[in-house]
Amino acid sequence: MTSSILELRSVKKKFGALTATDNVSLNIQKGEIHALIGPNGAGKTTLISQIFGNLTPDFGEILLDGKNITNTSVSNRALLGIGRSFQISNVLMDFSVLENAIVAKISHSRKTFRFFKPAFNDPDLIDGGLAILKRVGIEHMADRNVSDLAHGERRLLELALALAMQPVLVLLDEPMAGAGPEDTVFMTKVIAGLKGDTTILLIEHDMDVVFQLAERISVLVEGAVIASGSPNEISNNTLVREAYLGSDE
Amino acid sequence: MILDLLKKFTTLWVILFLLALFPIFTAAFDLPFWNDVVMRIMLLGMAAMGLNIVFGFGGMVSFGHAAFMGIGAYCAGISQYYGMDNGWYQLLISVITCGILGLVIGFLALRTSGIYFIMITLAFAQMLYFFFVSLEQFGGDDGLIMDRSDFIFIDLYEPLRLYYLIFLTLVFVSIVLMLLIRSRFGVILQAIKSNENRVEAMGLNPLKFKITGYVISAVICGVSGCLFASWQEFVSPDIMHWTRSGDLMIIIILGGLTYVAGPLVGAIVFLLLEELLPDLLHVVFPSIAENWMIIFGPLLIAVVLFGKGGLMGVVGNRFTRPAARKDQ
Ligand SMILES: Nc1ncnc2c1ncn2[C@@H]1O[C@H](COP(=O)(O)OP(=O)(O)OP(=O)(O)O)[C@@H](O)[C@H]1O
Ligand SMILES: [Mg+2]
Repeated sequence: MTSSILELRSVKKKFGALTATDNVSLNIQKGEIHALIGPNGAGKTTLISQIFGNLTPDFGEILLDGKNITNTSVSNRALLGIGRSFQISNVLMDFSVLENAIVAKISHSRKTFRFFKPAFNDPDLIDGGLAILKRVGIEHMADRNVSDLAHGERRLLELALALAMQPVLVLLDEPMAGAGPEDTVFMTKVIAGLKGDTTILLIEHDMDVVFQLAERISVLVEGAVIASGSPNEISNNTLVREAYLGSDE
Repeated sequence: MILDLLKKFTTLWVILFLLALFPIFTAAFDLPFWNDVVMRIMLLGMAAMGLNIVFGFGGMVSFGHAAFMGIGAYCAGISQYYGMDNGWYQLLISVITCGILGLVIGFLALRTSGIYFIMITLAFAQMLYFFFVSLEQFGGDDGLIMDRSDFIFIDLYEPLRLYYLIFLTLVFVSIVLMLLIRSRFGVILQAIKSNENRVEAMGLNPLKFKITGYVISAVICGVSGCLFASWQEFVSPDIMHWTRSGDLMIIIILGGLTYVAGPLVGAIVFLLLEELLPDLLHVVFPSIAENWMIIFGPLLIAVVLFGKGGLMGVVGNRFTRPAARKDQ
């Protein structure tokens, strides 16, 4: 048995009368790419937000590497080794690509309360920032302003930022949403290349991408996990076919 | 390093240079009154620069920073009331008091954001305002008449001593800001303004940086207020009236809120207009000279609407790049 990096125990979250997360228990194994799929409004983003700390569960526990992080703040979870990309691009819009990476690098260095030495022309930070960009192959965009980037390029930058803190667990919420076909292919390659380095929980609607990347898949419907298993098991699961993949296929 | 700062912040250095020489000009043309005006410009400019750390660079709309000026001024006034004339000591007391108060108010107010933050900072400022109004012992509403503080080596009653004390403090504050804004801390503050969510996701706790910025800005406003008391030779709750908090914000927006020099440029234009516009109107439009605000208001609105980067945006770089990067 491999050990699990993330464990959810009976996590529940309600928005008013709506049960967005319905008693979810889930294990993510160290080093795997785990896809989380489900129809629109199934509660995928809500679940990831609870893992990252943007939302707090009403009930249940979240454990990272055996440590209870249910009430840990977002920034502390990031320091513990969780990275996240958001469904809607979430980068520093007023900054350049390299400057985005430099801010991440500053955080990674833990030397944040420094008031005198300029940051943007500090050679260590520039090298560190470039290394962060290189990881997803976008170092050639370093000097461009984020506001001038195409959507797909922005998504790549966000992936780079999610990886910047060298996380043990990366949460990717539809990382290719809005990106063109070329960027999608490129991004799929980049994510495939991360296999083994870190653990990835991937939300994705594109089934081709999911079946290319994922070693395990969990299916979320109306807030509840209705199935969890290998891609083969999932595609043959009658429950999943009915509820999600569509019985007409 | 010094050369780098000279290059990056040209406008600010030019203004400081002109301020250093200004008394020569007033002496040559025998206009001592204008030294007084410029001292006020430097003091309000300094306070606005302090406020701009949170407002322009951190994106926190604090509507109560005049309160810190007031606290600084009362630290001088009350010290003197009890016979403590030493200006250096008064400055120290102002810094400590405003630092602690900034920490407490920042700690409480920065839990909120948007309109709630604006209201809560205004509420704290009003609380302090009415606190001093109610302090009959120190003159209440009428305030406290005082002498210029005693800065030991510098006799403020000698000509121009106060002018250069204020000027050098302004230079000091300017250098602090130029360094701060490009430092790791300053970059993080500007990143928080750009996207707080992302900063948090990067493992940085935004609240810590915002509170720190708030404290630094409160301290700078306190220093300005402490010197303001000597300049005015009088302290009253008026110095912390909410309209002054508004003035400070207008000054910043007018000058350009993403520039270190912006607030100083704004203070120069704002206070000169306030000084000159009534006289000018007397000549051109005597009927509305009394109500010069009729012209002043729309003028401000025009700058705010059309010059997105304020007046600095017209001279310098118009775009909303982080101040940490651009030459200004
Ligand atoms: N902050 C909120 N307040 C109230 N309801 C919410 C909130 N966030 C999400 N919801 C609701 O919870 C349900 C789950 O939303 P969620 O965004 O998690 O779905 P999702 O699976 O990510 O969908 P999509 O594939 O469209 O991104 C939806 O019905 C949504 O309307
Ligand atoms: Mg979603």
